[in-house]
Amino acid sequence: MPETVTVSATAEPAALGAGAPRRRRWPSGWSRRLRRIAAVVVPFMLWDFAAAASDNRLFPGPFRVFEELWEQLTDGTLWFHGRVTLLRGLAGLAIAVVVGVLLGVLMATVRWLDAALQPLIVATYPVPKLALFPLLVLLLGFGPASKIAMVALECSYPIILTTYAGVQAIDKHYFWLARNVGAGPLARLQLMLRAASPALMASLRMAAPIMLVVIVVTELIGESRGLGYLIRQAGADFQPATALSIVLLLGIIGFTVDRTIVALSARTTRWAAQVRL
Amino acid sequence: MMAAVIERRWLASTLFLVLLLALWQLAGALDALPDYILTPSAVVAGLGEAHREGRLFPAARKSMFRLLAGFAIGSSVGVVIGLLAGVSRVAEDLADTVVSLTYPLPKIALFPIVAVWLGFTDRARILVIAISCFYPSFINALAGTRGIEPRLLWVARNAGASRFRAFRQVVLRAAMPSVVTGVRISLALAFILTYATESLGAGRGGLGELIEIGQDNLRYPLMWAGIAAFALLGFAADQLWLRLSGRLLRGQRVEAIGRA
Repeated sequence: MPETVTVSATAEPAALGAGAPRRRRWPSGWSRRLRRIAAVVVPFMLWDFAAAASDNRLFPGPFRVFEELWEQLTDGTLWFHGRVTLLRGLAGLAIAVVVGVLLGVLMATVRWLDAALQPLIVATYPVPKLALFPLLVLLLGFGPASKIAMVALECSYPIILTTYAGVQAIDKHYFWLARNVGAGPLARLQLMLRAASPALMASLRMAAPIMLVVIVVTELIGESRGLGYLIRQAGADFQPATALSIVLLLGIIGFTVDRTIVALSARTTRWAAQVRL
Repeated sequence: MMAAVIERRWLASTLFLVLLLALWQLAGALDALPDYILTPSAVVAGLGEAHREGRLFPAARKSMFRLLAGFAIGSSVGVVIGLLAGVSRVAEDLADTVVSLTYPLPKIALFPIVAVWLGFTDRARILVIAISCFYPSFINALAGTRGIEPRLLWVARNAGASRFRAFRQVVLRAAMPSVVTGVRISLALAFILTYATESLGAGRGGLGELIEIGQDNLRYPLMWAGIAAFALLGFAADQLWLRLSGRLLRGQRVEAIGRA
């Protein structure tokens, strides 16, 4: 493309569509909405068409997958396994939140802990903690404990680092004000958690998908319960429709968890003028 | 004395690390550890043992091939489509809906299904790694282009820069910190996925299998060698990416945390 040299005074601001003030020139929201719907519907139709054309049990169409999900939900197996997966995942996430927030706050407030731990945590952040799973199995057995520990370990990292950054970024005036009115250490902690709550909720939103990945992986590796186990079984039995229906369910769970966190953060951070999500 | 140590952060953290390792080693020397937890010196010896048996490097090479292939495909496609969606409404509408619908899925759950079609092959593993790596790269690249200061773009366009030139010189550079962060998350994810796909199914090879061989045959030095190799490679890859991206980001700061 030749680069134009003429200065065009009429150049559309944010002509690349990247600027904050959106172009208002679009005929209406309709063409956009249509495109957005088409972006979902067309792949589905292609999938359905391809599946019908191949007529192969190993390549099920979308409706077959929905049907399968419905069947599995109505006969109750998915409720049992889904509950197992979700309870373990949430337990791990809860531990990660408690440990992560505690460590994050401590690191941001106690200088020697900051100096000792922060570089260590930053350095081990990119290391795949999941490779420690066999070790956790030896340590805690093949039951739920090793899986919950694995989820807690992987999820605590983003929570620690975000809490740390969030607490450090708190306006110093808040603390001065608190000290001026004679607030004790407990009130200071409360203030800290309040002020850092946008960062906390953002970190929770980062950790939730990690939780789901890790719990499913641990169940895929070795387990006789949970959704990961069901997927492995269905794959081994060459039942892609069943496996895909469970993947679909996992997607629904992930979506629900994410929306719940967003709704929660809208409540807890109502005071913040700008919610950072 | 204490305060002086804290001032030099690297010194404090190194001391702390040495202290931790020393305690670990001491606990091992006092027989306070179960036999599957090796001391740091035994882990190093385990790496040597795996190497002498000719297992370490072939396994690491196999893992790294899968990881890099999946990472390169997934993150580059993610960055390109993410930048495209940032500057084009059509691309945004087409990509963003699909991505936000599929984003909450744990992509590793697709592996048993992909394996039905492709078998437990390298191709199946690379595909799943690539799909996983796509998302953080895409999301952060898109967020980066959206967060651009619009005035920068107005100035460039007013000065007569073509769309392409404005993209190359303004959008691309301003979005770079976020892009770099997204790719970094993809890289970390690629390691997790590589381990996960290597601990599932048949025909594995790779460090994941090395870990399991050690675990199943009670040869804990081998298991630890695999874990240590994963950790060292993960750390080295991250450092390498930070160095490389430092060149892309002259005069800008890396964002500490992006969306995984």
